Parts: sequence; C-alpha cells; structure tokens
Amino acid sequence: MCAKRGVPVTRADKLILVVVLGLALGSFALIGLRRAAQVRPAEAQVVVEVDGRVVDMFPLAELKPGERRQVRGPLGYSVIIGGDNKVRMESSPCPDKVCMARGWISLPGEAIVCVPNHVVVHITGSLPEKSYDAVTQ
Amino acid sequence: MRNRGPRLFALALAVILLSGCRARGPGWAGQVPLAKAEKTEFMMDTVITITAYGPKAAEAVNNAMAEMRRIAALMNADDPKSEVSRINQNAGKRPVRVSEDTFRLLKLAQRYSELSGGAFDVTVRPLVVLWGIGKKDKYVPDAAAIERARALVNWRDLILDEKARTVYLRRPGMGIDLGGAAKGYAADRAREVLLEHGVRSALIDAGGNIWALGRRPDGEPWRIGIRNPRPEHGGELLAVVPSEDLTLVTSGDYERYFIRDGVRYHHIFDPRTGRPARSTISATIIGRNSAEADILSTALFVLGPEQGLALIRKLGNLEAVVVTPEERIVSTSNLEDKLEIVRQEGGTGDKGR
Repeated sequence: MCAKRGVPVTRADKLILVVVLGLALGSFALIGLRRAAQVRPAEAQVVVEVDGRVVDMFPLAELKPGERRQVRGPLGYSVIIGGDNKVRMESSPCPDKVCMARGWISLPGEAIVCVPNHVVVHITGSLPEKSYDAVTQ
Repeated sequence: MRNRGPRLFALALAVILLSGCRARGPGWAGQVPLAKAEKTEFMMDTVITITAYGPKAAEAVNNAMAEMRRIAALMNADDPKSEVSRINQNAGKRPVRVSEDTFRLLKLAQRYSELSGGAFDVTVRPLVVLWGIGKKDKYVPDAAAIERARALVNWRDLILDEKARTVYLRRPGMGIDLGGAAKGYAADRAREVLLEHGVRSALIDAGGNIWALGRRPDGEPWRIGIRNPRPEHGGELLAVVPSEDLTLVTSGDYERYFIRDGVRYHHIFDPRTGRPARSTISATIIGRNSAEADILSTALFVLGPEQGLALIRKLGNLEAVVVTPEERIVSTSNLEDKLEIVRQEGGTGDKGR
C-alpha cells in the first residue's frame, strides 16, 4: 500500500483523486440520465383489443365523463364509458358480466377483460414505479 | 501524517461510490438486449398471455401457445367432443381410453382428492352444472337438488386403469371437472416447451395462474402480485412475492360470483356440503408444479387456514397464503420474510368504485 507515513502527496495523487471522483459521480449522472430517458412522461392511453388485435386507442383524458364507445366482439357490442380520468365497462353481451363487475380502471397496467366477448380494455402509459410484473388471481 | 487523510478519504470514497455498480444482466449499455415475444389468446374460459425473452422467443411462444390449446381441447368439459366429456358421457357405462396428458392429470387430481380428504374432488362436475355460476342468472338450487348432486361427487368412484390407460366413472350422472387443474397443467406444459426452445426468462399468465420462469431480463427476480380479494379495502394488490422459477396459483371467491340477499355465491364448492366454501376468501399456493398448485389452491381454499395450511406444511416444498373471511392474511412461516404486504391497512383503497 502507498499510504505509508511520510510519503508526500504529489500532484499525481491529487489528479487520481479528482479523476476517480469524476468517474464515479459521472457514472451516476449517466445512470440517472438513462433512467430519465426510459420513463417517458407519456399520458395514459386506453387500448381496446378484440381477440388480441388493437381496435381502438385514445388518451384516457380524452374520454369525457359519461362518453361511451362501442367495441364489437363475437357476441355483439360491449360498451365502455368514461369517468373522471377513468373508464369502466358499462354493458356487455356476455352472460357472466365479470367485466362490468371489474369497475373503474385508471392506472397504467390495469385492465378490464371480457372473456366471452374476447374484449380486453387496458391502460398503458408511463408506469409510476410499477411494483409487479404479473398478478396471481 | 498530514498527507494521509486526503488519500485515505479518496480511496474510501472511490470504493463506496464504485461499489454501487454491478452487472444487471442483458439490456445494459453495450450489450445486445434479448429479443422479447408476447402473445395473448382466449382459451379455457380465460385469457392466456405468454411473454418470453431469448433468441428464439417468438417461435417458443407460438409453440407453447399451441401446446396449451392442445391441452385445453382435451380437457374442456363444456366441449362434448373433449376427452373429459367422453369420460362423463360414459359414466356408469364403460371405461374410456384417454391420452397420457389426461390420464396423468387425473391421477394427480385423484391423489390430492384423497390427501385433502375430499375438500378438492375432481368429480365435482354435478355441483358445477347444478349451480351454473356465471352461466345461470343468480340461481340458488334448493336443498334437495344440492343433496342429489352432492351424492354424485366422490373421487373413490373414479377408476383409473394404468395399464389400459382408461378412465371410468362408476355411476351414471357423475362427471369430472378439471376446471381447478387444467390451467395449471397447461402452464406446466407451456413452460416445458419454452425451456426446450432455450428460453430462460419468461412469464406465463394462464388466467391468473402464473409461471415465473427464471429471472427478469434485468437479472432481478420476477415480482408477482397477489390480488386483494376485497380491493375496496386497501387497493388492488394484497402482497408481492419476489419469484424465481416459481409458479403461483390463487383461488378466490371474487372471480365468478353473484350476490343474492346479501350472500356471496361463488364458483368454488365444498364437495362435502355442496355449497360455495366459506372458510377463506382467497388462497394462494407457491410451488414448482402448476397443476399441483392449481389443485392445492382449491383444497386450501375449501379447508381454510388451519386444516389447509397444515396440509401444505405436511406436503412440504410449498408455500401458501390465505385470506380469512375477516380479511386477515395468514401464510406459511417460510414465506413471512419474503412476502411484501402492499395492502393499505386502515384507510380505504377505493378509487371511486
């Protein structure tokens, strides 16, 4: 080790200190920048799919409270309705009405699924630190 | 002496600052990100999504999906041409020869029917048909009808002939229902197919039956949420389990149900009473075999926290979480440290529902 008693600090030592510090702090700045670049502040989008194909997509904020949109599936028309920055299934030709029981969704990652009518409505957008990859239910 | 301070300080600082850096697997600067493939299909009365990473991910996902479709076709009790339907149509008449897949799963199901003392019973079909949860409109059968259907449920009357690979139900009117096992088995098969294609990182979501294969592409364990059975109390999620090479299956009373006269009637029956089970509102099994986890989540749901968790402990190599009707969370002790409870206690997580 070089840190023996009485060895003077040279210019080179100081330079090393500055360079190492610079590298360390610089790499943190770089990581921060990459993170920032990944999290795009895109607004929440409502994505409507039938049989896995996207049939409609629009910003959640665009859907006014009380505004309806129809989705045609194999059983007929499912109807979604907007709320205050949220959306739910208002009516559906399915027998079980599980999709209607799902209630409002508003956050990226949330979804309404109508299995009988093959309709999926989900919200995409910048995920505010989504804490999970999948949900067992 | 006066020179030593800054140098040691610099060294210490460099060590501290640099120690934060480590490889986080693919996707980092300079490395080629793994190809991602994702596919969603409707089958088995639910939605299946497979997400896989790796050089042959797209082919792997397509083939895994095809394998799940094959299993679904064999085991769908609502399709009169499926193997399961042929077994049911021939109840009390003659044994039916079946595929290896159906035979293997029925054998597993019968074993756990016995181990759970009939809390899970693979011959539950007569009750499923009678109640018709999700198919009939808020129908509650009378006691005599329930008793008649219940009398037809008994795993001991399911005869499996290993040599001939045949299945026979002893009495007419009996029926097997693999609704609580086939999704898990299909997910196990899909995982095998992904592994055969060299996939080492994937998520299979078979309608809420999860297989978390390997780790995430960023090198971290998958984070699997457990749905809160009462989202109006504390939000959508109950807890999160960091998962590597694990399958998680949950049975809940919120999936298919109706409420009549203030009583919730759901799709998981206690074969011993012929009515929806009441000892829990959600039961999750964490293990390495999804068919087994699927079956045991039903058994645990029906048996309740005490008897159910005792069975899980006895079987070994499994973890479990249940939510009681009072919304208390109880888990196996090994899981207590890993389980991150995210349900918001006290206040309401209701988002205007």
